[in-house]
Amino acid sequence: MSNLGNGLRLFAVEWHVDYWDYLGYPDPYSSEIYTQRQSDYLGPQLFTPHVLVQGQTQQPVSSSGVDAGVAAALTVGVPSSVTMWQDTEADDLVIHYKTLDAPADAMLHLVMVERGISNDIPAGENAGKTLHHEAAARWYAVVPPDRGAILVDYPADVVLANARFIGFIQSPLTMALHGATTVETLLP
Amino acid sequence: MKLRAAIHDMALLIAAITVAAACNSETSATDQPADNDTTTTPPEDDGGSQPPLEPADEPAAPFALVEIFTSEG
Repeated sequence: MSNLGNGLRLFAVEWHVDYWDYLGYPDPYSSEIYTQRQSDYLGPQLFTPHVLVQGQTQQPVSSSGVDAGVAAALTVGVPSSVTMWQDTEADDLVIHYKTLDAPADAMLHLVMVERGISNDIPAGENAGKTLHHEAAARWYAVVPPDRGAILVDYPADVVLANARFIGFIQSPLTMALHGATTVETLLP
Repeated sequence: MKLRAAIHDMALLIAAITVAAACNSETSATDQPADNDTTTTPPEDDGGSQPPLEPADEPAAPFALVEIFTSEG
């Protein structure tokens, strides 16, 4: 279920970029499409870690700064809505979506995030560490808003019980966000 | 290295944010009338006006999206 009602609608996505993969350890959760998304924000000057709240880069990064950004975002009304649901009768994982009042230039971004990931890092800069991820992007698609359905060709190692979908409407030039929702993944 | 520490901090940060979101989700869920909650009025049957798979439109409501670009490598 989406996080509505009296609860805060706070969504988190951890995008693993692939441009450090040559440094001794290829991140198993990295993807060039996640790097492309960062390029959409920054252009060619990419860096990690890069934190954004509501599409705004946090520099310098601090917990208090993120908290303040989140608090501010949660007070601002948005014009659009997203509704997502899973086709439980399909053999494959199919997500349906519909939007209301999306700006003409905006696109609907759909991302599957997985929680509960722990990974022992054997090499590279983080060798010897165990890294944990609670919102790692595992699948991502950008579609026109309005109404549709999409087959989710997620990686084979995703634990669906730990996965959820986040959908958000964003303008490609300004990167402004207009609406969002989330839905738990059901086993197909 | 500083970068390592930053990545670790960011991992903790994103974990805290996600836990906060999950806690809020649970709070929200308990705020909704349960199917067997006899103290609240159950929602009226809409007579099948919506296809069974399709939920009603969600309202446009404020939200916060936190994104982090990172790497294990």
